[in-house]
Amino acid sequence: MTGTGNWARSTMSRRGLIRGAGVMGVGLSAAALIGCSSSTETKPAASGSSAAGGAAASTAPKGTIRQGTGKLSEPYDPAIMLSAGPTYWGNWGNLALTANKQNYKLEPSLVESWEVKSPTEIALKVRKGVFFHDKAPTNGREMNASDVAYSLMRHAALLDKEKVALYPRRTNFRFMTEAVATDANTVTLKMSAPNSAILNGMADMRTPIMPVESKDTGFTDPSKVVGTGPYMIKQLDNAGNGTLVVNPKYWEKGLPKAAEVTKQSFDTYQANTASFIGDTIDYLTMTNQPWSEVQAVGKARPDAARLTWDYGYIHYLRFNNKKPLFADERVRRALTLVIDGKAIGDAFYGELASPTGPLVSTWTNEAIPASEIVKRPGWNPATREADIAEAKKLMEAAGFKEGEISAAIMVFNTPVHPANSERVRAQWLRVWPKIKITLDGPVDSGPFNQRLAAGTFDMMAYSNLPTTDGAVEFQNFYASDGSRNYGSFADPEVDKLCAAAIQEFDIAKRGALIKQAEEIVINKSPIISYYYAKQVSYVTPKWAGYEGYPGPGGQGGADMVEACKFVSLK
Amino acid sequence: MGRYIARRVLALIPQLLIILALVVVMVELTPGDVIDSMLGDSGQITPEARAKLERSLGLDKSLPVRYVSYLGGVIQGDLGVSITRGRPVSDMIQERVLVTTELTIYAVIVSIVIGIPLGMAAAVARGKVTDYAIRFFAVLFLGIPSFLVATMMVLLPALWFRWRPPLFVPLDKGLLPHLFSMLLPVMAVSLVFMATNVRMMRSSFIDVMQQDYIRTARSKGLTATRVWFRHGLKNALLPTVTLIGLQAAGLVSGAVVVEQVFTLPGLGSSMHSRDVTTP
Repeated sequence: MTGTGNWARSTMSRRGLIRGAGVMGVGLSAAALIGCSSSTETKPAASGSSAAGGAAASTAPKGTIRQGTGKLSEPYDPAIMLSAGPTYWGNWGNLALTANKQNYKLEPSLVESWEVKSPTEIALKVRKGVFFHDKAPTNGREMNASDVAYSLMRHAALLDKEKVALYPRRTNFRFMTEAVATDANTVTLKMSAPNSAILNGMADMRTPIMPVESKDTGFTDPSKVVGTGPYMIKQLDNAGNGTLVVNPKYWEKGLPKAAEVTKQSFDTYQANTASFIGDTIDYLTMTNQPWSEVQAVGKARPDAARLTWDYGYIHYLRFNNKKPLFADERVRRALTLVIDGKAIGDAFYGELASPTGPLVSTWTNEAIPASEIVKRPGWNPATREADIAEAKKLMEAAGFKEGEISAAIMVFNTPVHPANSERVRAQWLRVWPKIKITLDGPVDSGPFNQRLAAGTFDMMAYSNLPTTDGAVEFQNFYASDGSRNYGSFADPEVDKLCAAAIQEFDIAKRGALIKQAEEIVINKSPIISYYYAKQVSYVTPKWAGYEGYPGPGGQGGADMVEACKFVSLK
Repeated sequence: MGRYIARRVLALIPQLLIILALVVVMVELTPGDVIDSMLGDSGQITPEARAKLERSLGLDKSLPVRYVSYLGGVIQGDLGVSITRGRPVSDMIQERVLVTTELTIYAVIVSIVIGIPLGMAAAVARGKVTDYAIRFFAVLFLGIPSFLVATMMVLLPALWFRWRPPLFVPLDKGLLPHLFSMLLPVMAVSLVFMATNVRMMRSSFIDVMQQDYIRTARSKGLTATRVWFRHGLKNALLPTVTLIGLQAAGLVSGAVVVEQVFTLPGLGSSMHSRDVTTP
């Protein structure tokens, strides 16, 4: 340090200050690197205990599956849970029935057989030898018909009539008036009207079986949440982070194959992605992410396997039929005919977009096959010019010779919907340069749902996860009293066909009825369904079993969670 | 002094009442209510079902009635029960407030400990490369919001080095791992405030260094360092200290956003849109 001269030119002092700052910065960086290497995150466990005591060491569950999920919503009540709920219950709860992931046929689970005694009565035979987790409040007791009956009544919102609106799966159990345990292993469902979809409703990932003790314990304490699933909660905090260990009394012998599941809950998608790239979680579900991001993750993790499969998340634009402009079928049809759904899907999803826009999930018995749809006007690339010419005629007949209509698209607040809507507008402008379409949004979920209910929109850009039953799905969207008929479309013939289908237990006849209704809806164009996006997930290569597992199931990420009981270390 | 403090504390009461009223009104005015948020895209419900739900949740009462009921609870220390979570709000706050407080305090300390010396260095090296470099980074970090910095801190190391910052480690699992897990979140929160402190400190230090008493001190033969720290710093700190007090509120709001990016179990990650309490 100099002691003479102009102090402002005391370079040693300045240097000392900067040196000190540099040393501090280096020290902090070193501390960060040390902190990373001494992280206490879960590392793959060594071989764990056997799922069934006494099993040979080679078949004993081993390894730790590291799951990353969205924020867990409280309470942990599967009857009420919306988003991340299934990814938790998929590990610790079982369903009454399940759907085969390859052909979507109904298969037994906790209910091992069923008998349709009459159109309004179904008897379910509950499987014996299934035990709840060996912890409070069930303490490992055997599951019985009362548990199944209680669970179905809850999911159907029959036990809480004041708050029925909070139960999103209640439509799976339409017309059900009661579920009663007639003996220790038999549940009788009674309905006020036939509902052939009710069995598929029980195969919904989001309708697991809960113990009757839940009435008293509630669902706010994660340590008291129990099920019959392959894993039980060892530790879970209110943020959704925790560890699950093998249920030693799990009824499917030889399963699960992994000894432990750790859950990390992420508030943001970026943190989830970074965790997969940093190899601290074992799979990453990238549904509804742009193709460029999917590719970026692939480049960052070239060792990871990328799995894709059909998924029912349909992206669409829906007209509000109550608005005078869109009450005119010609305007709707004209706007629908000119849309190139493939171009819209490809632009956002690359190879992950399926080019047709089915009205019902394509793997269901009720769907007009995608291979048929793609030949229809509006979807067929070979007839695009003719479709545009037809659209112009329709618009002119409706009184808008140059397409000079003015309307707004209410855009939901996720990245894909503004992108889809911009492309739709651009396609319309190419055909009708005088058309005036504004994009209203992106709109957050609260006001979006409010405006949907109030009908205060012209068109809306949205997407929906399917239900487990094609007839219910179609009815939800297009019957005049459908819970997802946001555009207030109404056609008496469609209503009649939907009602008949729901009450028809013969699968072939049921499918034919819905297909008839679909033809009407296609011609009346209340909706432009552009495409559906395939589910895409990346999986760490050390796990085997995910690649064969995902199939048409429609419920996406939850399938990956259920697959946890099948996967094993390579 | 005692009387002054008592007056200021008493003045807090009407201020808190006004803030509480404003918050309640603003939540009420936000489009879409807690029921819309809870229902999500589960489908439309009939007006009767909605009315029943509102009644069961106490939302059918008028806003003034709900406000007075809520106020009565607050005065008694009861913050109500969260409609969406079904748990007492005070429990939820208690679980999480420590993490947010800790993050905020660390951020204040870091923004002071790094910001003030850097501001002084920039002032002392005025017009030189050091000064320009420090000011460049200060302006850069002033312009970048903390949530963006946080997101980049999480994503870029993962993409470039396949490294992800450590997840939050509770204090009872070890002090050092806990501090390491807080390091990047603290940096993300503190950067913008550090930048403000740098600029304020630089500016006030330059002012102070031009004062007559500083020249007098130097002419008496005191070393530059002694002049800076013993005479200059104390006076130059005044505006910065005032600023730090004003920054506190901003730090808390920055913290709750950054918590979500780093998945810290603080108040930020427990926030839910439009959640209100049952009256």
